[in-house]
Amino acid sequence: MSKLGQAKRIIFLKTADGQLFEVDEPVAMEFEIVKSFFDENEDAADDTVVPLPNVSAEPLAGIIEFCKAHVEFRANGAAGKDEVKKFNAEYIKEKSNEQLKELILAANYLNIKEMLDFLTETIANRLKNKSVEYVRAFFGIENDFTPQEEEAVRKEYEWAFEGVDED
Amino acid sequence: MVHTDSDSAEAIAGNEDLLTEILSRIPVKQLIKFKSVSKSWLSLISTSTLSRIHTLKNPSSSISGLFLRRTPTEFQFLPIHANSSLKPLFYPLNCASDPAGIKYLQSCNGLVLCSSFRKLGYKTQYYVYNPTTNCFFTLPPFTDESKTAVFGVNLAFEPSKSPYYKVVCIDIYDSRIGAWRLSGSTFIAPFDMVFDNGVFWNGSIVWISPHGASIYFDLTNERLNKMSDLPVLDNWSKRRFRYFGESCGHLHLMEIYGARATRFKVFQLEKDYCNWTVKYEIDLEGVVGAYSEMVRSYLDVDDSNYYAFVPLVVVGDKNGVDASLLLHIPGKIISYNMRDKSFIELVAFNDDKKNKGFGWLDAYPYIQSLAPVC
Repeated sequence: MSKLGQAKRIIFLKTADGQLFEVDEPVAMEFEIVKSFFDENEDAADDTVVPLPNVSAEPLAGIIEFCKAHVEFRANGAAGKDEVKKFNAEYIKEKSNEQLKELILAANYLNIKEMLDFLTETIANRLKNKSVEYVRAFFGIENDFTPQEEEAVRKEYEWAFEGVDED
Repeated sequence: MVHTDSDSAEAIAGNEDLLTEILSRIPVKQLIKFKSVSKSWLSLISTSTLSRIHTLKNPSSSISGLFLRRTPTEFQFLPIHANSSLKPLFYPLNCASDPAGIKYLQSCNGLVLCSSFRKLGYKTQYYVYNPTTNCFFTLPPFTDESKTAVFGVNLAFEPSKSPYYKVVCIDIYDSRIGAWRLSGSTFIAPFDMVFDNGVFWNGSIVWISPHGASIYFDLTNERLNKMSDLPVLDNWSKRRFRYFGESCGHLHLMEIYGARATRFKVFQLEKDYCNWTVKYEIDLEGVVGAYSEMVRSYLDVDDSNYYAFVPLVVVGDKNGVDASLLLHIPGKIISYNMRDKSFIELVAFNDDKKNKGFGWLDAYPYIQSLAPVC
């Protein structure tokens, strides 16, 4: 662990597709899985490379960007303020549904609570007011009801089907 | 394993914890709709784990409809939104198939307490019912045979604090009317306390008596407390309660006195259980002007019931502020804005020739909730 006066410690992370990332320690420690790796291997050398076999480079780059900004927000006492909301909105605006799904799987694997909360909220917002067919397509779910069974479920909860947005 | 584009979706769909986190942030109505996505979604959305997480995450739903009791045994549902229309008559909790028939007793933040009618030869059953999921739970019978009567059964459910509900009852264990035991202590209740009309508010069940005494049972420390008396009356010996209920976190009380009363106050109890403050001043002059059928010209003009109207429920606006009062007048339900005194007609009844469309026994708020009942 770094001591006062020493240079900033860098953590090396290696993704499943073989890319090496150099991440500032406070940002890497946002990832619960990295934190516990060093908690369990106290003698790990400074240049130890932490393997992340379930994450590829693209989502990891996105996650590092998000966590870096949030570490800075906290350091500046800006947590919970409007500029955080603004950053989050900008961050997610350009992300496609596919990118979002990759991000949430990676954030789930890395176990980053704050980001996971944000991503689940974002996905939930994208599913609100959507049709059942849209949800099936979003998650790649096959409809395993027979037409009769599906009709019965729809009928039981008929009131819930009033007022659905166009996909 | 790294997820490619096509299977990242399936990886999420196959991860029940992750899916539960996402789905617990979807509003009730849409989540119910998603039950028809697939068999596994139907069962996941029906689990009590998801229901409990969902209930905690979405505690402050507003009233979205009313259950109106039209006859002693029949109800009608009225959704509260623009272009509302009444749904067909129904018998409450038909799925419980209670031979004595079932009535609603109390609606509390998404759950409804029901009981069977008292009928000779049948035991009175109590039920906790979630009208959103159409699930119910039959409460276990009161085991103590020495009890001569059970009354004041009340439901306490506060989804912002816990997804579990409590049912409180006051039981008479001997023939001394008005003396009852709770949590090991005996409390002499005012003789005229109306225990059937308890209201759950601020973590307590509150009861009021026609002479102005009031008590509350604090569920946190399970203690009964006396409250300071209700707002002072000028020159009126007997109280004339017209509304006592909870909405948007506030306990409201309305009493109407005097002849041709179109003006009255809405009191609100402070959280200290001591002070009743005037929240709104109501003036129904405009409503009477628009709906002459409210005038009971056959009554003496000094009669306090000269105008026919019943305050049904206080409804919050989209910001969760208690803003509107739903009024039942002959043949109609009116939504009256307590702030700017404007009003709109919510629904008209065309079916009720017998009593000119005025008067059913009660209205129970409906709040969407996934809260499990067992």
